[in-house]
Amino acid sequence: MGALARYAFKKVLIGIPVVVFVTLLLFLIMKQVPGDPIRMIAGERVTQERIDELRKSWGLDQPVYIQYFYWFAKVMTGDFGYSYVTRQPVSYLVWARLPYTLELTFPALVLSYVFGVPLGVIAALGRGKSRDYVTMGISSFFYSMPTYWLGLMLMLVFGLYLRWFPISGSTSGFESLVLPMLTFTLPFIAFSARIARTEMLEVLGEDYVRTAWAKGLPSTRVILRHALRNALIPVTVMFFLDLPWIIGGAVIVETVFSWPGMGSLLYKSILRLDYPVIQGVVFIIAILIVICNITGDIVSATLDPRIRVEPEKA
Amino acid sequence: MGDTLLQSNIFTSKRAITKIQAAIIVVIIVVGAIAGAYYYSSISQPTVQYKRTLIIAIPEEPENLDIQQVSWSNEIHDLVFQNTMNFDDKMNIVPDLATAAEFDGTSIVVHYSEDAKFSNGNPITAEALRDAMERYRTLSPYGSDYDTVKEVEIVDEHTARIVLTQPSTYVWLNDIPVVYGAIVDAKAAKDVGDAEFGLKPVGSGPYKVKEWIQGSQVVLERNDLYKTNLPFVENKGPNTYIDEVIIRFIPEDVTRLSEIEAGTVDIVRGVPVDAVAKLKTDPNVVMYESLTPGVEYIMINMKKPPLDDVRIRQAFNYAVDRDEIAMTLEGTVLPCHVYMSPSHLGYSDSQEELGKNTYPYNPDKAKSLLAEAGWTDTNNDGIVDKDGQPLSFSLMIPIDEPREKRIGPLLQSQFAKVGIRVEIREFDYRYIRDQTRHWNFELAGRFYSWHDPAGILPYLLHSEYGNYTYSNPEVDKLLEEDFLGALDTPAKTELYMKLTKMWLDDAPWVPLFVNREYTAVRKDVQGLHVMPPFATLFIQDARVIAPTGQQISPWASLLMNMVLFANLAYVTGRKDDS
Amino acid sequence: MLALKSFKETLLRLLQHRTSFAGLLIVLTIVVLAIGASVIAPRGYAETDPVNRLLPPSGQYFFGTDVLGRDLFSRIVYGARIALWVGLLVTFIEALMGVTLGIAAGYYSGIVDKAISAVTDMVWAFPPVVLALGVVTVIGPGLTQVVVAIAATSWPAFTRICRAKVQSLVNREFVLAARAIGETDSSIMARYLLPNLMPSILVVSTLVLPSAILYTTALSFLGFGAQPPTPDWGAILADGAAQLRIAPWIATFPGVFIVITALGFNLLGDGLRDILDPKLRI
Repeated sequence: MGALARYAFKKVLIGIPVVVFVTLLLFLIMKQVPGDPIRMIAGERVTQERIDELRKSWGLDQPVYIQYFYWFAKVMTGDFGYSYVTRQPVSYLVWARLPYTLELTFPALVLSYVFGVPLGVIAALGRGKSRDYVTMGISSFFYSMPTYWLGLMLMLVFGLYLRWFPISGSTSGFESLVLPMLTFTLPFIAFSARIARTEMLEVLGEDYVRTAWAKGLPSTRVILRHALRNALIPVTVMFFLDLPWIIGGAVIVETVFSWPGMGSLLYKSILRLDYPVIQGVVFIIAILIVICNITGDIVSATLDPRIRVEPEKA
Repeated sequence: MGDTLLQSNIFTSKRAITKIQAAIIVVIIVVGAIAGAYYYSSISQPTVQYKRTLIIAIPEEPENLDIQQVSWSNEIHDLVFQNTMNFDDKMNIVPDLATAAEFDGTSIVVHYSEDAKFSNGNPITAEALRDAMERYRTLSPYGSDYDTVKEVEIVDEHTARIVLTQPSTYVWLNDIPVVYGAIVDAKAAKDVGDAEFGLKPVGSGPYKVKEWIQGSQVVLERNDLYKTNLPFVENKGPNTYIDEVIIRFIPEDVTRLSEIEAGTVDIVRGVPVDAVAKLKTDPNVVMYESLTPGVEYIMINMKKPPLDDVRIRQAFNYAVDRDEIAMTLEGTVLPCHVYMSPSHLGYSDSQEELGKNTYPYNPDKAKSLLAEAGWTDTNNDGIVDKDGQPLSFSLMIPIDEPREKRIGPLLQSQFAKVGIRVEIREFDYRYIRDQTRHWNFELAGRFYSWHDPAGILPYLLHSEYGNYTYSNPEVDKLLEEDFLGALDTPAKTELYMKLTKMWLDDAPWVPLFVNREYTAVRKDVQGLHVMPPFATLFIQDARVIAPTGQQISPWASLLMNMVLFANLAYVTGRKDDS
Repeated sequence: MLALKSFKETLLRLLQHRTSFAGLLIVLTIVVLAIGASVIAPRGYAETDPVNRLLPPSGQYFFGTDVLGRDLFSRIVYGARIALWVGLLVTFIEALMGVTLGIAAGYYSGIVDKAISAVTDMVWAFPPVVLALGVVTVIGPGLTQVVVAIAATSWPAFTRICRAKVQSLVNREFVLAARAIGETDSSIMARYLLPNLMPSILVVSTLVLPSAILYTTALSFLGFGAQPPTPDWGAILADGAAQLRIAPWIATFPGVFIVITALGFNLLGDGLRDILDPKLRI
């Protein structure tokens, strides 16, 4: 495990400056944005002095670098600052909404792979035959579908016409989850099916598989297991790389269904230029990406010994 | 094989008689189930049952539940906090929390009753008022409201005198009778901190905050210490018919509409434009309509040529077909040619008449004005130009103000008809407001909503207080008269008539319409008061009749019966076996 | 391995391949719609006519009208122009960026490679909508801005493919020979490496374009993209969402067209891949 640990450690070392770089970049960019959040949250009947007072109390009269330094230092202690708009701690806002996003996206992600991968494998095995065309045809259909449109159509049919499910909000328990999750899952199933099929085809075309077939080895099952295992490695890696999606990828679904998760929080904050919230959420996403990347690399290194030796060729 | 699950029962038995018996049993049970379901649901209750929870759907989640930390207020604040005084349906100022209050021009005396308490049991005293006002001054974006307050004298434990620096109706009209000026328990706020207080504030309103589920809803529970002096409510204490009020945030128009039709919410605020006509004819729904004390308009950057030419601005005013706009918005707005709404203190019909006569819809007049100013269509592309430059402007439209957003392209067409090209850019409203304050715009869709013109118009049209691009010293002087002075209503009306004439001459805005606020209430809700100026809901006398026969849903009873049947079948089968 | 096929041969095989044939048909239809929009559309896309608002589909208004009385069919037809134009632009920018970086990373290896790969991986893993929203926040809303924003999120697709391919080519004889006779790096990249990459680049482009259309319409849907009255399909859809109950056609039809267009390009791309570079992992 020594080599693996060193490998992981190296990746972490690279990861940290990446996070710093991303958040610093974001911070600097935010300051360039036209539009002053303090002025924006001040209402109509406000004088200029009042606005200046407010700005001072938020510490926004200091130079940018100092602001970033304080922000980063506080983040290291878990203090993400306060939202300009709601004056609530950002960590509270994120903490309150994170479960909603997770309960929507994580099961959706898992389900997509659970349904999608077998579909892709079946298609690959039946390459050129009708089941390949049918599966891939349907999958291409969902893959080409904009999520917001799928959401609206599901809302229209199942929510408004048939009235089987509530069309927005999260207050009806499990029922509210159905439509948003379906919207999120269907295109993802198509996506994972495509990847699974490609990987499976790749492996099936490998020499050792052809040789085994030529030799007439007893079960196609044995081949399948070998081929499958090798094909599943990149698929598993993809799974980990898709994980950060579970925070940000739900923006559209959450907006369409008024799902009170991190996605809609991010969207509203961007509209209102609520920097502390934006920075907090992006920071979390960046960290998550780094973690997932590293995990993905470690997983693929563990599963595929070739990679450890020549990590760059992965 | 041993399929132990397949026991010998009526399904597997080959005895024909059993099968017929089974069929009869099936028929009886199913018919019985359906009949039972209908029977249950049609039992009429001898006495009226009440639903103890009131559910209100609003379009937008509040920023914060503490009235002293927000820049806009909503239903939650109205229920959690209690105004010191309030408005009745004739816009008279009447007592609410205070037993009485007097205003003599330079000071306001507020009297509390001896047993007035916050929802947490702390007593409401003159000192508490002073602390609350201090907190407001430092914390609220509107803190400068109290700039004219010299000090708050403690006359005695339950009487406070707010002494002003000069004679002014400002605080009396803009804070005392309005929820922003409502008292909060500043001591409690200090104890828990502002962030926590923003989640669970302490006021003296009829309900208090139980919990706030971010992004979803706020649950309020009854404040049993509530007392009011409002003359127009019968019940001056806690409402024992409604234990909880749930306020749900539902931004989608479609959803709010579905929910009220289905009866899953009792009251809907912000009824969408397309739903108004439909809901008005719905027998289960009562619609309340109120004219907003505010105007939706296009603000013009007067410092940016060629918009500094009054003829161009006048052309805009002639080019707008307000009737077409009102039709497109399904009659949910009132066309407006002036800078105030009929709901305003100081408004008179002659204002709108003057406006209409000054700028009737006249695209030809608009074109001729543009020509006068040197703009004609020399290259026949439909857009007028001058010195090779087309007359083209950017119009910022608020993406979150549904009515202005909807008619944006319509305005574009109307302006195009007279030869002006307008490019729309959609932004968050706060951003637009910010950009206009910085003179960083050409045309901007804006609106305001406030009951006292003195409390809002100076911030928009005064060169100093407003700091927008409009500047007219005579207008300033007149505005100051009402802003700083103490005017009675007839004087106000005369003043604003004069101001309207000036504004029409200068044309800093293109007034479009006055919004109508609609509230949809299910028939089962009785005793509701919806009061001006903001169509505030008063639920002191309200009760919600529970719909009858909801004891057991027909599907549930059907299911129960089918389960019974299954058991019966199993038992019968076993008996058959032995 | 890659074999450079002639254009005619490729086209012939395209037509024989079932999926790519279907894709080609669809794409051509949309292209025709886009080019012939002013002829095909019975009305202008900004013609407001509030008297005739919210009408259901009929003989006069094929897809009905929207809240301002504008003909939905005309708007969607003009929208094809925007979709294709935007898609092409985004794909082109991404290809430019991605291919350049990919070739550089694959050719130079060492620190250049590490740096480019780190950035590529980061951008690739970042949820594209979030990234695009971030960019749009800074540079403002609008269709051109959205093009830039989306292009900034998906170029890694090109980079990774090119890098991998260049790495496999860089030690081949013809490259080593070229270096031996003193050809400059950029000359080698342009004359030897790039042509070998073209088939893959073409396949990736065809598969990236529908993505570009989906993302740009998504941003328009969220309100950051096309400004009124531009008939971007996503913007039309967003307008229709509020009227879903009383006028579901406004939200339905644009979506149908987005799906068809994206599907067409996806099928075409899949077919191209099978013909030109079956081992392409995308």
